[in-house]
Parts: sequence; structure tokens; C-alpha cells
Amino acid sequence: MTTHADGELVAGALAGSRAAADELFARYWPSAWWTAYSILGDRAAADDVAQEAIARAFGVLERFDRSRPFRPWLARIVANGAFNALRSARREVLVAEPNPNGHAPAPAVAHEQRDELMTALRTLSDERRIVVALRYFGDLDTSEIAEVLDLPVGTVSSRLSRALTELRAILEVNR
Amino acid sequence: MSGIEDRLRDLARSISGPTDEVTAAAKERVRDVLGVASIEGDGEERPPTRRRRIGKRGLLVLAGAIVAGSATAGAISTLGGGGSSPVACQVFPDRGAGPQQLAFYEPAARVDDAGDAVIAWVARGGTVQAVSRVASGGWQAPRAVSGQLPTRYLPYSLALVMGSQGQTTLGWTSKDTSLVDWSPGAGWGSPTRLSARKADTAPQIAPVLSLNSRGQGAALFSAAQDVTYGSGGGASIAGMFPVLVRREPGGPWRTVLSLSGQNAAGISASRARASSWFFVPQIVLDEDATTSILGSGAGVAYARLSPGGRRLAYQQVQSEPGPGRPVLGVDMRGNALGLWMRGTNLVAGTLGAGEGRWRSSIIANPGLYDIFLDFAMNEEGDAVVVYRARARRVPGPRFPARSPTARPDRVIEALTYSAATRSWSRPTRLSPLGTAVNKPRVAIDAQGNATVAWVEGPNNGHGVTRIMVARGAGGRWSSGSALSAPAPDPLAPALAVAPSGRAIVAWTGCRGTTAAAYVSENEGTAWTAPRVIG
Repeated sequence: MTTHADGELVAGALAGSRAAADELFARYWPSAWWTAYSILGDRAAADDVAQEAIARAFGVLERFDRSRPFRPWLARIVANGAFNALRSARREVLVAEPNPNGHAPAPAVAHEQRDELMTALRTLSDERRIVVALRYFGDLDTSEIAEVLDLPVGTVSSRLSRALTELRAILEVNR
Repeated sequence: MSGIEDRLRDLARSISGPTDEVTAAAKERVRDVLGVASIEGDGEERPPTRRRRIGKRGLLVLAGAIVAGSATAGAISTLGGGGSSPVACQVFPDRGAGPQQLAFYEPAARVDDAGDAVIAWVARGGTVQAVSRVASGGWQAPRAVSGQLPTRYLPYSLALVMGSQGQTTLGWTSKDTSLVDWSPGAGWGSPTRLSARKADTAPQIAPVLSLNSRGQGAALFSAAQDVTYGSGGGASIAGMFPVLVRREPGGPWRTVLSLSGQNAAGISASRARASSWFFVPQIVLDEDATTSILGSGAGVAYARLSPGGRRLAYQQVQSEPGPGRPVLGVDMRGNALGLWMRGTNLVAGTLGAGEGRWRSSIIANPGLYDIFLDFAMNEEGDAVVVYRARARRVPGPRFPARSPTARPDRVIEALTYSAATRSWSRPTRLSPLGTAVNKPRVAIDAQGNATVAWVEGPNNGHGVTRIMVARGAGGRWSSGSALSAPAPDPLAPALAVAPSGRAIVAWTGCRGTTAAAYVSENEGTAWTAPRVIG
């Protein structure tokens, strides 16, 4: 099975290939959704924002610099949309819905531990919580987060480190 | 630290990702914007489009085609009604832009009583092109009125206003916002650059222009800023804010107000909040040189500014979110009429001259949030509004085969407003049931006679599409008639009506295997056969 590079898929999609468009979509749609969810913390809002953003990104695909990685470029567009939605909805609490869609949590995390972690995440400041969410929910590395948030990599790393320290402290205090 | 990291990863794994339904819907939207979508029953992949090199002499136009700088540039020929069978051409084949994207690129047109007229569009080569006509003369050769625009920042639409003596201002936003003037005597001037912008993902939304009868002008455009999100600094993300500029007749543009960090109308209220406006506010430069502003976003708000930018009036006319861009008109006596959305309801508000507060009521339920609202008002205050509504009792395409412009469960509806009785007509359906319709445009003459143009057909390259027009007054409408020859390509009409009733419709389509810009005119009786103008 041939694995096409992102740039090839972009070129194919722009040339009218539905297969290329579908493959590019399949490759990055989950990441787009998780990026939106990481920022918004709300499934319905993430559904809307991620759809809008990925459609928008594919609508301006000709602007994509094929020499660069696709995922951070898409994530930046999604994040901008999510931040706009976040501001508009005046959302202040993220990481909601402890049991979305009725899916049972994985056995590795007991309900109690999971809820405790959710609660701890909510207590973080926006800037720290979003960095944590993008890292662990969105599965972006620090350089990608830096590009998404338009921050220096060092700032992202320090925020992530402080956030994890704060989370650990919160969980320890609660014991 | 690894313990907490493991727990976070486990937590993430325990949360399910997007549902299959959401994923399918997103996938279909992506196919739509790329032009690789299938309409019902069409599972075929569109053949890849060959990229063609475009020489300096062959600049295909986005919404039409034009040959710039050549001896044939301005040749105007009569196409007539054309053949009945669709012709095949692909607009912008090397941009990779699908038909859905092309629908964003729309020509603009204006005409005055004497017959002075301007039609403008964005050329594929990266310039804003325009054709003009002085009174009863012929159409001049198309010319580039902008410099070379970055291909990544081609404008999605154009702003065009024309005064009673033909004085015209054309505006666009690429990486920056620029305005250029035209007049019957002096022709085209040089573009004036108003601002730079740096957001690389924001659409290139045209500025909002307004002229009053004294020849004074106002423009509202977006400038870039960094909006700090979150407490304690947070992430710095690019944002836009509106800037209002004004000028006296023939004078330079001067900044009146930067409407940064404020509310839906861009005017400070007690609870100012950054970027709570989502759509470019609408402005009207009144006869007394005050500026009326109506903006929507988290709410809908109105403000009136003095010529110097001082706030004279402010009202939040709706606390609920106002999805979509509002419209605003002010008649020669100072009576204001605005329309905006409340959910899927269309709301009309009036503010009589000298009155302190808006009165609003729901006048229609289009059943959609995004209705492609268009609005026109004459000096007497008579107005007409047109929009794309959900067609009740008409089944939509089967999920997930959805194409936004190809839905048969959409109709064009119109309402008229009588300034004399201060009342709205009931919504009238102008398009047939079961036919995909898009891009409604409306204009009105001094007598209150309205003209509506729209696109009938899937408008996505997968079926016959044509330009339709209907005329009406007092809530009564003619049936729609076709102006253009049927074509498979996406079309977008531009409509202009002078106070005397002289009307022009311009659109883009195919001419053989290349794209072309067309115009049809009506001086009171019938529409002329389409003419190729670029």
C-alpha cells in the first residue's frame, strides 16, 4: 500500500481527486476535532467548529505551503475558529462531559480517578489547560502547540511543565 | 511527572472522538469545497484538471474571463441567447478552486440614471478588473484597476457604490484594503491603500462603502490586531477590528474611529468586550453626514456617530445572538430600516427619524441560519429584501450526499416594505419548488419597483445552471425568467438598478471553452441578450 506524502495529497485534492481529498481528510480530521475539543471542551461545539474549520482549510488549500507539515497548519486554523467560538460563547469551563456518548471510560481509569482529574483540569487557568489539552487530547507536540498558539516553544514547554506540576499538586491535596 | 502524564493519556483515550455522523458530514463539506463532491446519484470522481500556464496575455477571470492588454481585450460581441445545450469550460482550472469556492468570487455592478455603469470582478491573474461605460456610450475595454494582488489573498467579493452623477468608488480587501474612484469625466484614478492586514486565514471580505447625495463617502474595513485571549496573557491570536474612514467630496480618506475591543456595533457600551462582533457591521452615511452602524454577533447593536466619530446614539436592539450579517438602510428623511437574524427568524427593525428606540418584529422564518440576505432601499424608504429559505415539504438530498448549492429543498423568497404604511408584505416565493437556487440579489428603483436576480441550478459544475430574474412591486412579482444560456459552471450574478429603473445584471459563465463575463440590461421593457464584456 502506497503512503502518499501530505503535499502529494494536497496536490491531488486541488487537482480534483476525491480519493486524495478523502485520504487527506481521513488523515487529519481526528486531529482537527481533538484540537477543537481541547480548546472548547464541549462536544457539540467541537463538532461545529471542527467542521467549519476543516471545510475552511480545504477551501483555501491552495494557500498551503506544501514544503511544510500539514497538521500544524490545519491545527492553527481550527484553533483560531475554536478561540473565536470560545470567546463568543463566553465559555469558561472546559473539559466537560465526563462520559460522552455513553461510552464507558477505559478500565485504566476508574470513574473516581477520572472525575478527579477532570475537576483538577477545570481548575487550571485557560492558558495552562489549553496547552495540556492540546498535548494530551489533541496529541500535538510542543512545537506544534507553539505554532498553533503562536507562542515560543519555550513558553509552551514551561506552561506545560507548570500545568502538570499544578495538576499533580491538586490531586495530591485532594488525597 | 510521568504518573500524571499517563493519567492524562488514559483520560484522553477514554473520551470518544467525533461520531461517525459528524465525520461523514465534515467529509462531505470538504468534498464540497474542493469541488469533488457528488450530487445524488453521482459517485464518479471528477477527472483531475490539467494545470495550464497562463501567459500575460491570457488572464482568465475568476468570475469571468478577460484578456488583458491585448488587442482583443475590449472586444464586445453579442452572444445572444446561446445554444440550448450546456457548454463545458472550467473556470480557474489551475487554481485548484472548486466550484463551491468560485461561488465566493462575485462580480459587482452599478448603474445610474444616465446610463453610466461600472462592472468589476477579480481576474485569475490576480488583479481587480473593471469595465465602464459613460452614459449612452459603449462599454470600454476592461482594465486592471488594482496592482498585482497576492494570489493567496485574492478578494472574495468587491464593494461598489455609485452616486447620482456616476461618481463611483470600488473597494476590495486582499492583504490590505484599497479603494479606487471612477467618474464619467475623469475615468479611473489610482488605488488608495487604507490598511494592511496580517491574518492569513481570514477571508478577504470586502469593505463596506456608503455615499450620500452630497458626495461624501464612508468606508468600514477590517484591520489586524492581536487579541489577547484568556486570563493572565493567554494565547495571542490574530483578530480583526473595524475602522471607519470618511472623506469629503474629492478629498482624501481620513480615519474617524478605530472600533477596537468593542461591541457588536463597534461602539463602546457599558460591557465592552473584545471581538464580540463576528460580522462586518453595516454602515450608512446619512444626508446630515452622520454615520449609522448596525452590527451583529453576540447580539445586535445600533449606533450613530457624528462626522467626527462621537457617539450620538446607541442601542442594543437584540440581546440574543444575531447569526449572519445584518443589513441597514436609511431614507432621505432619516428613517432607518434594518434586518437581522434571531435564530432562524428574520427580524426587521425600524427607527424613525428623531425616535429614540428601534421597534422590531419577526417578518419571516426562512428556516435557516445562513440565508444569503440581500436588501435594497430607495430614497423614499421603500425597501425589498430577498433571501434563500428552506423549502417546506420538499425533501432534501439524502445524507450524506449534500452539496450546499445543489440542494433542491431551497427557495428564493422576497418581501417588500412600504414606507408609506410602514408595513411589510408577506414572503413571496420567487423560485419553483424542487430546484436548487443560490445567490439572490435585489435592487430597487425610485418608484419602489424591485428586481431580483439569482442562480438556478446546482451551481457546482454538475448540472445546468442559469441566471434568473424577476421583477415586482407592492408585494406582487413576475415569474422568474432566464437571462443566461444554460451552462454547467458556477455562476454569481451582480445586479444594479438606477433610480429611473434602468437595470443591469452581470454574471460569469462559459464562452466556448473559456470563461467570460456577461451583461444584460433592461431599460423598462425587456432584458437584452447577454453581451460578453470580458
